[in-house]
Amino acid sequence: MQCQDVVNHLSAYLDGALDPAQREAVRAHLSRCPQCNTELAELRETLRLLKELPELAPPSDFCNQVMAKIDTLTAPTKEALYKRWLARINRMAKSSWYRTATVAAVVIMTLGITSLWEKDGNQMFPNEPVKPPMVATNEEPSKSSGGTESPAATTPTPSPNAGKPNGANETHNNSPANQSPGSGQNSHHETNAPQSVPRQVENFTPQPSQGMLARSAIIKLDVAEVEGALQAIGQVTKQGNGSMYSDYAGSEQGGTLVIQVASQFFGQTISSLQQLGTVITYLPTEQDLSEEHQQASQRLAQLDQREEELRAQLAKDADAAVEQELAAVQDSLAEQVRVIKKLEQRSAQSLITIQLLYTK
Amino acid sequence: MPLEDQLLVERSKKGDREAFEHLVRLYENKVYTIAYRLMGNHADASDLAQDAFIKIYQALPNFRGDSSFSTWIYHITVNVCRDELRKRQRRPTVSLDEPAGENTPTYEIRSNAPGPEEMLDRSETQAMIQQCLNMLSDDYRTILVMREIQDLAYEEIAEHLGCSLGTVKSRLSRARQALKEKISKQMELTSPPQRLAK
Repeated sequence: MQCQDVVNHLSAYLDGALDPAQREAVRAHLSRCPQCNTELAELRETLRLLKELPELAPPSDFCNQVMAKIDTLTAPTKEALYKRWLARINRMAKSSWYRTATVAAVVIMTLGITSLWEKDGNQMFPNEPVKPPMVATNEEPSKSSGGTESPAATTPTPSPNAGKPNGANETHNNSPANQSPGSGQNSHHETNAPQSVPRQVENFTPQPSQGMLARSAIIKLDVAEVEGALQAIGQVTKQGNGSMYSDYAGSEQGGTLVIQVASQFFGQTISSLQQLGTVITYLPTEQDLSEEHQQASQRLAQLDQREEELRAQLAKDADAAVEQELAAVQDSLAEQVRVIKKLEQRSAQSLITIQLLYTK
Repeated sequence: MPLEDQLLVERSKKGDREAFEHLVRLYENKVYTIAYRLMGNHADASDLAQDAFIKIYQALPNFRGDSSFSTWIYHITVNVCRDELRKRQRRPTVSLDEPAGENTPTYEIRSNAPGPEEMLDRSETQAMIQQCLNMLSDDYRTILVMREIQDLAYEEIAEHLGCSLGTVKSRLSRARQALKEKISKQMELTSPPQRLAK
């Protein structure tokens, strides 16, 4: 290897990014070429200097400016939620069980529709309301028994309220005839919200939703000495049954850290912190989680009920479509438990961002 | 991604303003530093770091946690800065108030002598290194920041820049050489031996 080749390879050599043969060639050359050795040392020094460049802090009002700009944006939350929902649908659509279920659904629907054609020609859009029961029976050939319940419950026509009045009672009665209607793709049954059904998912019972709050605060302190303040914060955190959430990032001149304390110690922790220096800013916030928690708990109850129905149905006769739906419901249940647990965790723990400043 | 970040991200996604403020406070130094190293002056760094956070806020619903949150936001920061640099390359900023003929671009990144307010780096050497970075081409500066400051792997850089591993290797090599030469030159201008040892 010539000197110029070696120089061109030094960068990758330093990163260990050469293949073994090249690395050996460079090493051999370096062992006998002082000039290239100097090049290597200089390059190494350059990189050291670059890597040692410190982390910088933006102007003190940087965060406020960012938040002020964000506040002027138009309601991003709705769009955000919508996009999240879309993303979830997309993710679900990619899962294999969903593809199988989709194929099954298409086959069933095709059978249903073609069976309409075979009959009177124009049953696709029946004028008389008497026809739907026949449609329902044709559409769901796998159904084991369906004669006794309200025929409208399985009607594919878009009338979501049709089957509702019976919904809540059906599961309590526990009669076999009433457990069948969910075997199809009709999800309207799930909207029947039974408020008082006992939940037994992983023995998980949500906490009461009422009064559920997430509390957090940002506190900016001018302190006499940063290190002493950090030690005191450690103490305060311990007393608040809490932990370090994000380690101190900064210098002796100032910096930021975040602690997490048990919510019942929130007030106590804040007043202890306020004694550590001069309070420049104190921004407490409270977010009401009760509604979100209640909705999640209701959804959990609905899924729970659905799972029971599907289990009972499976106990009677094995059906791949029901099995798939059960798996999906169980996935949703697990997800719902996670959502609720997260909400409860947010309520149990408060985050406090502490900014320290040393101006003396 | 650490559970804590995940919690804050989840809360921010749901429109929790305070959670996002926590995130800004946690990451403002890093984001600002990347912007400063790329743009070379305080005013641009401050503006673009703010823009980056707004982009991050808007893009949060799309963040699925495939990479760590920090990696994701640093990518956005680099992209915001690269877009700005590209824009400036396309139409160099020439002030209308300036007399005709003074066609040198006026943005500070081309300036080799930052004013006192630009000297954010603590030591003279550090300020000099930044000055040398500023003298490099945008491409060289970007790849150096990604590799040495963000500590990204070759593969990650290739993916982000949309180029091959070979290109990353050779561009990085040339960028490092170019920086080395700039630094050597600067050191010769001042008192060389002591500086090198520093």
